[in-house]
Amino acid sequence: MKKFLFKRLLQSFLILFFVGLLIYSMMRLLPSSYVETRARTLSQQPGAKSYDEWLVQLKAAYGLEQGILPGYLHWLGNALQGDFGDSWQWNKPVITKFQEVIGYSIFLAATAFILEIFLSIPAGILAARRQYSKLDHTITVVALIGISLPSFFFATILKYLFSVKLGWFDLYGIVGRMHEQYSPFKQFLDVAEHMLLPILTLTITNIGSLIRFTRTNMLEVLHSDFIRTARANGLPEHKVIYQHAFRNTLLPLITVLGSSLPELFGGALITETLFQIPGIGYTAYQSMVNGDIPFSMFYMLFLAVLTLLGNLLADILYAAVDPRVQMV
Amino acid sequence: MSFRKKNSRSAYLTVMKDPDNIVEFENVHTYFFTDSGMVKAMNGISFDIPKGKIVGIVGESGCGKTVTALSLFQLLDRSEGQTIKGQIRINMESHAVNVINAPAHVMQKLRGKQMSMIFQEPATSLNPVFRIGCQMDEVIKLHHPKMYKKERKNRTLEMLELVGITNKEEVYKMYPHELSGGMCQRIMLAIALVCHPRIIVADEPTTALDVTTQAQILDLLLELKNKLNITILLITHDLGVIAQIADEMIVMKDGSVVEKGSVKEIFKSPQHPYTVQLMRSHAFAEKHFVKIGSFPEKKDSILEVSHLKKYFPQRGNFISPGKGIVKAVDDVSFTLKRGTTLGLVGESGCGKSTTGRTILRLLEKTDGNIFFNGQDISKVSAEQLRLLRTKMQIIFQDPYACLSPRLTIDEIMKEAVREHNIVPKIELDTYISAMMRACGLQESYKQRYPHEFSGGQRQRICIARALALRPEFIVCDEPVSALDISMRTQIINLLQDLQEKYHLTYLFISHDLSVVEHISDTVAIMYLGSIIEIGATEDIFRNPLHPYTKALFSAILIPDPDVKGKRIILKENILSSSLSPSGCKFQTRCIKCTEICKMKTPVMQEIEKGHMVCCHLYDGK
Amino acid sequence: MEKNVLSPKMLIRKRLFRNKLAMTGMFLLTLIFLFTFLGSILTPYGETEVFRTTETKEQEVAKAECKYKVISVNSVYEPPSSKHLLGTDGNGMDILTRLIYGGRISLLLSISVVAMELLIGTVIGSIAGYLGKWVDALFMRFVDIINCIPSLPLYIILGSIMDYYKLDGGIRICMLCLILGLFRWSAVARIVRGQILSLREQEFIVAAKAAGIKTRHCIGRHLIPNVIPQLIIIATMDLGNVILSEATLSFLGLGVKYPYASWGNMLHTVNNIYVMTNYWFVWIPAGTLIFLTVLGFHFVGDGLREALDPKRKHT
Repeated sequence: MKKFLFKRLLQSFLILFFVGLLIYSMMRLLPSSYVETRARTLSQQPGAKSYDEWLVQLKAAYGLEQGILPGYLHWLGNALQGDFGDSWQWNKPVITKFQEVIGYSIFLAATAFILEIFLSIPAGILAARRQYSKLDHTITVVALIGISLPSFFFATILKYLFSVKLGWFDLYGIVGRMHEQYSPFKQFLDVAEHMLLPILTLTITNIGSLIRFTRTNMLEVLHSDFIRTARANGLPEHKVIYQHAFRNTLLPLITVLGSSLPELFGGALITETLFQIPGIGYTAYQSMVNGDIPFSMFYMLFLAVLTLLGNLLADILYAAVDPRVQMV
Repeated sequence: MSFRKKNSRSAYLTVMKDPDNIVEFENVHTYFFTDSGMVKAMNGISFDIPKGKIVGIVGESGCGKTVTALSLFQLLDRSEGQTIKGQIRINMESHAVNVINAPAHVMQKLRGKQMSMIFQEPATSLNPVFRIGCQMDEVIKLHHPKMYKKERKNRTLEMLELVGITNKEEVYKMYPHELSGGMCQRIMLAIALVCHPRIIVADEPTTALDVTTQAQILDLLLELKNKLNITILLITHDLGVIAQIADEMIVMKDGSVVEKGSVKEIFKSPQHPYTVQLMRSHAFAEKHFVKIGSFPEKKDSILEVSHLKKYFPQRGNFISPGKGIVKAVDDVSFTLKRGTTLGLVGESGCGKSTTGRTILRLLEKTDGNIFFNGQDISKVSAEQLRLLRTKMQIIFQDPYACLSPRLTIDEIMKEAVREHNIVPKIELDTYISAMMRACGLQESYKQRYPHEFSGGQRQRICIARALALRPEFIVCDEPVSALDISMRTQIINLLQDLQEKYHLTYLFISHDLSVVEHISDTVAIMYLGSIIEIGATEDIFRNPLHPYTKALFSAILIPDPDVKGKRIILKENILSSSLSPSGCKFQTRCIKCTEICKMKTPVMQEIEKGHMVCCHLYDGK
Repeated sequence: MEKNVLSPKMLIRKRLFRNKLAMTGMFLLTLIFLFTFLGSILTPYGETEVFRTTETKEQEVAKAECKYKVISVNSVYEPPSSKHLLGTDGNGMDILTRLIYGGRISLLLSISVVAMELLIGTVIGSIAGYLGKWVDALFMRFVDIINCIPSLPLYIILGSIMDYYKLDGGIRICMLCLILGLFRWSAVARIVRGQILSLREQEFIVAAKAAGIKTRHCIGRHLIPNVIPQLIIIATMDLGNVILSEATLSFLGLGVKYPYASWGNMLHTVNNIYVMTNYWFVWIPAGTLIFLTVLGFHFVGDGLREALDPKRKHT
């Protein structure tokens, strides 16, 4: 187990190194005007240094004078110490801004994730049990609709229906107008209310592929020999499905769930932007369109780390659940 | 096709026609849905299973025997097929239950408790993520909900002992993938017995097992019948199995029962022409056939294999890559004379297929030399090897898998011929037709696709394809193992005719001794990667020397109920992975194992002319 | 029971046509394709034709007997009428016409991207899968790296770069096509490689090798035709997915830009709440079309997957 973990972590670091290099190279290809704009902004503050001085300082700070590889190593050196630079958009260290906004994103992602699992897995199992029936077809159609729905369109329809026509929810934002005046509990409810539509959007758009995956897997398991044995031994149908079959479906399901980790955070970008939820996605979006290089680099790397972590987690869980895989 | 109302009790409660029967089938009709329409899998099946007897259903694949078994349990998928007519009654002492009309909850109570089943593939029939003990415990808990945990465990261990598992405490905690096929089948049997059912249905229980393990499982079934007086319904395609342990038999063909009665009577005088044909196809084992046909004494050797080794790194997985090596072929040497057939025999996993493929360089050898027509083919370039391939061909076990499903027969046959320019383009069509005719195929087959043919026909196509390249040497890798009995005779005869006509040399790989005896001039027995005995066919079959050879021969099931062979029982191979201990590889299972066997590896010694054996028992003779 | 002589292709076609969902999908797609490619014959307007207020306004003013002169302006946000079946958008352009031309761009873009990803992915995946060993190992590491890079942020950054350089609309579309194609091939290559790895050990490939067939003939004549069913399924599903990606990007303002129309950038206007609330005809038709097109592709793709599955039980 230890040997395996060590090997994987080493591999992951290597991959991360190259991913970082690729991203950094791309950033360096950005027009230099971003730096110049930043220098100009900084120099316009009262009592600041001149534009040229700022330009020189910024370029030195971000290693923009050097070639791509040395610049990357410079950035990497700082990053490993926890210093990702200052965000040009938000005028504070990247890490600080990250810590401020990540909370909302985690809340959004976690709730959507749990909802997805509780809705899609039973639906997939049900569809597989009654293959070719009307219920199966309905569930399949619902799943396909979920995959085909553009998230931004669905979000806008929800806003149109619930915020504009029915007036039940606010259009944007994480808090209502009266937020400051509420008691802490009511403040929490206020935030939750604003999260409702975004969570709904995220859940519906991600639910489709999970339903289909569960259904396909379950079908394959249900046609296995050992299920036939379980039935021949007189086990009631519910035990056959939920004990024998489900345990075997769990294995590939875990892999998929593990790799959906980065999706949750990355995909939420659109939803957060549309509802103006100040999470990591919306923040990153604003940074990216305004040429905030430090924050953008950090965000991309964050997602890359999530991908690798998700895969690693999936592999470990798989080994824990499947006795045929030995973790020596 | 309407569903019957399965609600009222009167619909499924009935009485037996004869109280001495456990199960009665009466005029059962079952339909199946397939791509090409409705198929009748059971066409008016009627038979009785008397108490305390072993009844065997025998027939070729597709005759409906498995469907018959599954219909007793009502385990047919509703989307697959449906029983529309007839009755299947099971005797419950005070009354009888007609399973066709019984509702699901009634069936569920019957299954496992009154009737249980074991299947063909024991390894995949057990849930891979649960321990053995857990799976057995679950069944007991289901049917005896009031039993305490300790009682259940005792019952489980009792059953494991009953089926001959000596290390029952260990096995209780193991997972299915850690055990061999034979062990898994014993466990399936234990699960089947755990609630003392009235009848056990065994669907081809030994087909997927080795010959020696098969003998053990069958003996076990017989022993259980005598000890516990249970009724067994045995389904098989092998008449030898029926002859050895069954009391009554039923012959099925295309969904109908063609003959039924006591085993002794039917074997003595079969009535139905199909039964007669089946009996004849099984006749290999009876004939101790001496090959007629003189061949010149001095022949040149077409193939010389010396000290061939093929090792594989042990397969692990992404979490723990395997350490160690699997010695699939471990120092194999032999010479093959032109125009003869060498039979390579052994059980699954002994390395015979790997040997065949390594000789053809379909797998790269780890060490050793292969001389074909005097030339060391392990040293030739890739292009030269490609050209040499026309001279050495191979026929595979699964005739479907080796034909590309998207090409017509014509395209399949022409492909290689064209590639090597065997005949000029103009003559291509006539040449292909000639080859097909030589193998018993009609010319009209050219435009068809592989999936339209039966197993036997597909194998003929594979043989024709190999023949079309004008080979000198053909490796036959279990060419008839996947075919029905009646097909086997035909294909073997075809191979022999072609050998005479085209002066071919065969390396015939098989686990079926009777087939090997029929076609081979010389035989080599393999065990765990090494040849342990080699010699002329008559010598080996008349006088087997190695203990393993003797055990193999004793395990052959003679399709004659009057001849009950005395079987040599080998110690069970407990674990699924094979270890390579120092000394003789057979030591863990050999009943004649001595001290020297555990320390020193035996070498090949010639005992009589041309008959060599690798065993310490013959040291210095 | 008579045996019908059906080639594998005919069997698949038979199964597909019996699948109601797939047929619905094909019907939808046919309608949409007809709409986008032939619709321009029906509409009298050009893609970027801007409409201005006309004499009707002048007449109204004249009637009111005011001293005001009518200055012609763009007739923006006009509700659906007989002249403009779906009204006009914020720039005074006819929405129906924009939908037609926009659809054309979206569909053509999708087809090009899918063609690119399939071509590159199949070639690289086959070579890696067949040759194995270090070629394969190198390839897998490369794919791992590409998979780690988050796609949406990347597209956004590249989009804003294109914004900065003020690229011409036409060039933008080509760049978008290239970017999407170059990023997506790794997923295809992975699937193709997996298929090839499993097919490679199957007996008919070994049989071909044993008969001395050259390597490239093995790959071309035996392996690739057996990978094609999977590729068809991937292609169909991806046609839908690429439309979604492009729509998302255009919606964010980073894909296809004015003056070119795209279903995605027609939805861009919903960022203005007033427009979203009052002028439903500006965004709802475009969004619905995206949804229906992608749905159609997914229905057909799902039907194909069922038809090509060798383990199917009954029709």
